[in-house]
Amino acid sequence: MVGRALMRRFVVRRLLGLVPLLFGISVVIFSLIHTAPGGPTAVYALSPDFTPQQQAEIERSLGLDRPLPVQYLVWVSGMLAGSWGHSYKDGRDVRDVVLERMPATLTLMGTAYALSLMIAVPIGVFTATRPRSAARYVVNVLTLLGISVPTFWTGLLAIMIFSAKLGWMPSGGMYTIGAPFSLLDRLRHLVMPALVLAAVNLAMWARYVHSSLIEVLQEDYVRTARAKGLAERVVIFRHALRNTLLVVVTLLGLSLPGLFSGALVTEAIFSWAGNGRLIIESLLGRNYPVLIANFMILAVLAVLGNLAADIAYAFVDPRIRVGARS
Amino acid sequence: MMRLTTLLATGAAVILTAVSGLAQPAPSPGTPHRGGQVVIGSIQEPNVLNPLLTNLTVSQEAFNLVLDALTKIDDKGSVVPFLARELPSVSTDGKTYTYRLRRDVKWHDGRPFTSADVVFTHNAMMDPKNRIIGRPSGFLNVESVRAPDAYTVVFTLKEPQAPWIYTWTSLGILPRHVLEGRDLNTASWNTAPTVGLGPFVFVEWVSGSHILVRRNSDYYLGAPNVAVVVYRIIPDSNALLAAMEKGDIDMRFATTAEQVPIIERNPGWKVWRTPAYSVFHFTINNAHPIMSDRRVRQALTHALDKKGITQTILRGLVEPAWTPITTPSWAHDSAVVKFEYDPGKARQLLDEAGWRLNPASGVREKDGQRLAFSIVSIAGDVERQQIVQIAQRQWREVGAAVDVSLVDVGTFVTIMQSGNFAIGYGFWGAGPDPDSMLFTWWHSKGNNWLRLRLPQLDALIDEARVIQDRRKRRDLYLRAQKLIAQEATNIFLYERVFFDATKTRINGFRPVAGGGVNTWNAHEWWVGR
Repeated sequence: MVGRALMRRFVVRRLLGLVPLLFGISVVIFSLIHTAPGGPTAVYALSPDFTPQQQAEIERSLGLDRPLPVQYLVWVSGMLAGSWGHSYKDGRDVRDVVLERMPATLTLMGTAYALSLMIAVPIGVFTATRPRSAARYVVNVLTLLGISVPTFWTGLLAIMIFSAKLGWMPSGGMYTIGAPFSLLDRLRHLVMPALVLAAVNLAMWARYVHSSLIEVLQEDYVRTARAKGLAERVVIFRHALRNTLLVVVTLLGLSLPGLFSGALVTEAIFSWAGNGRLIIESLLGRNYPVLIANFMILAVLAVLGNLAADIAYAFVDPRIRVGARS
Repeated sequence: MMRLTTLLATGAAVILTAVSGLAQPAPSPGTPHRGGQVVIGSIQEPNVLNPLLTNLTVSQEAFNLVLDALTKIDDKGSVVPFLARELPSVSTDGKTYTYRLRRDVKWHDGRPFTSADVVFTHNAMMDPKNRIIGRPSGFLNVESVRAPDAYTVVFTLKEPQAPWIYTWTSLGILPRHVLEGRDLNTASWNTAPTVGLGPFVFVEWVSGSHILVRRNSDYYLGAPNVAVVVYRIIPDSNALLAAMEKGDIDMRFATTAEQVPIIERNPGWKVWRTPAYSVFHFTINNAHPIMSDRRVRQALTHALDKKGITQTILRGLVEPAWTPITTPSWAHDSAVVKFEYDPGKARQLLDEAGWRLNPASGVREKDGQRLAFSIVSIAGDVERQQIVQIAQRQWREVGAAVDVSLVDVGTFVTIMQSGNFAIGYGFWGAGPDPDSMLFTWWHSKGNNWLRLRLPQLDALIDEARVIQDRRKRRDLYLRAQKLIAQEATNIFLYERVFFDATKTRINGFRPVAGGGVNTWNAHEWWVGR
């Protein structure tokens, strides 16, 4: 199918391209986050005993009084030597601070994506193949709702109904604090935030699958398949849907950074200790080392996600051949 | 299912207490019941649990569970001894403070607590290598510290300072044997203080989720009643409210006026109203070209309807303020001049100051300059936003062109420090001693966001600072407040009230008004049935 050597060269070339790209991104991010007014100690300055002199001393001790290019070089050389630096907030190793949030974020985002995917594809197929049915309009309205209703609203509503009023679900958090590990307990805490998040993606992805399938169904080879007398089910699932999956693959590839960055609003509402909240808190606290580490990982994942989508294309779509010329 | 997990949650210790509790006669309502857990819900997460590296209230609330202090401030605003056997003895010249320590105190690892730990904490506080954030100003006045024996610490001051007694209140002592020789800025103890002196022992801190501590059975004041305390982070205030409704939270400190009636509708909850030593006010840049005229400052005070704001936005839960020293303080002055709400008077004062109304624009002008300025405040707080908008409207009514600029905390502080503003809005907090408010914010050697130069006021604050006699100090502070009110250095809006909510079945909670933390007596809390 795909020439192996060609594929390897393609991947290596793309990965090598990553290096200058990441340097460029790091320069941009580094300068951007440092242009925001205020510094990491400003949040403490509301207290009367913390003087501007103390503040200046701490910022000097953190190296923040040096010219920006010097600060950048210090950071880059540290990064290249494998040191991510220390968090301004608590002095901990940035690597620990960032990576400890990974399991929570991956669990939530992974579950949400899987749920959306499992529901979005059948819905998309359903609405695309029954263009004039009443059910289709119902689904359309529902998906539109899913896109337009913000998660802070659905999330709070879910907590108020299923947790505060009915008492069926925990009001937030990732597990019962202090209890021994229990899979059931984890799942109970995961259900609401995952569903709320899934609703957003689901609605969007269903629309993509829907419109893509409608387009594919107009293609000549679909007409050919139908002309051969194949059952409609076979036409849709074996011939048309496979090409529609291209859209899904792209979406999945582009969603890769999201698996890491998490969902800011949903994490806050459900007090989920994920990376989205870490990023926002670091932003507000001007915790530069943690921020830039997060952004760099996101940049790498964005690039890798695109690459993965490209590679997957080659496998899914018979029309795409890496490096082949016609 | 839920019951089972909750039971498991508190662990074997609780089950044991529950079992032993069954064997005893049922306690009467007034007798502390032992066992159970208390969950404190908080929107903000502490940064560290090292008292030297933080000044956030949330951090102080959390570290006071696992660390302990020489003295603390109680719910009446008094200094009470904890690790110190009694209050420090003060020499007649007011320059020597001698603390005698308890001899029965052990660190959580069993090592004895001694004067060496106090001296170590002092030295760490003064070490320029450490990125110190939580240093009470009293430290800067210490000439020398010495420990003549293992249970005595003597501080000698450079200058006498009456409020110095507050320096070691609610300030957690560091374990010398754990931290000596370590880099304090990055020590793992900062976020995992497993060796402390407090009524509870640190168990875990799951970043972004919670801090969990368990009862210290060897606590020198007797083992706490509560078996487990959880400091839980719920960053969204509405979600926190829902968690309270559900019963997942037992305490929530400093909630908003808006949420008070909602919480009080639930019979399982009680809201404690504690008038604080802090005041919400408009910070005026007294060196600003427009604001440097006292008549303009007085006019803006006249133009603001304080009563209306406290009655509507703050639901009548707070009182208008006219001076920075609030009602609970022994130095409060209720007789200061009050520039009451009177837009006519405001217009007259502005006319006198030479700001003439341009009928075409509706904005006053003087020497070709418009009476235009902006109010800076912190974004993300609905209450503040509404108040600032009302001020904007009411000042426009007397002919000022007012803008509003909402920024994040960091930017706000930077702007205030830079002096590049006309008016800011926020609150200034303080401890029980008036000096902590007046020296910090009104003295030209303090933070001086007001850009004030009033030698007369400096002199009053300086004098009240060094004498011990409270009656004489009070006289000086009354004069200082009269001067501040007359000069309209700020526009005071209302005296802050802390709204702390607890479940009705939580007993022994005694909220503090300021200078201390609500967890100061956590060892006395108990959970009713």
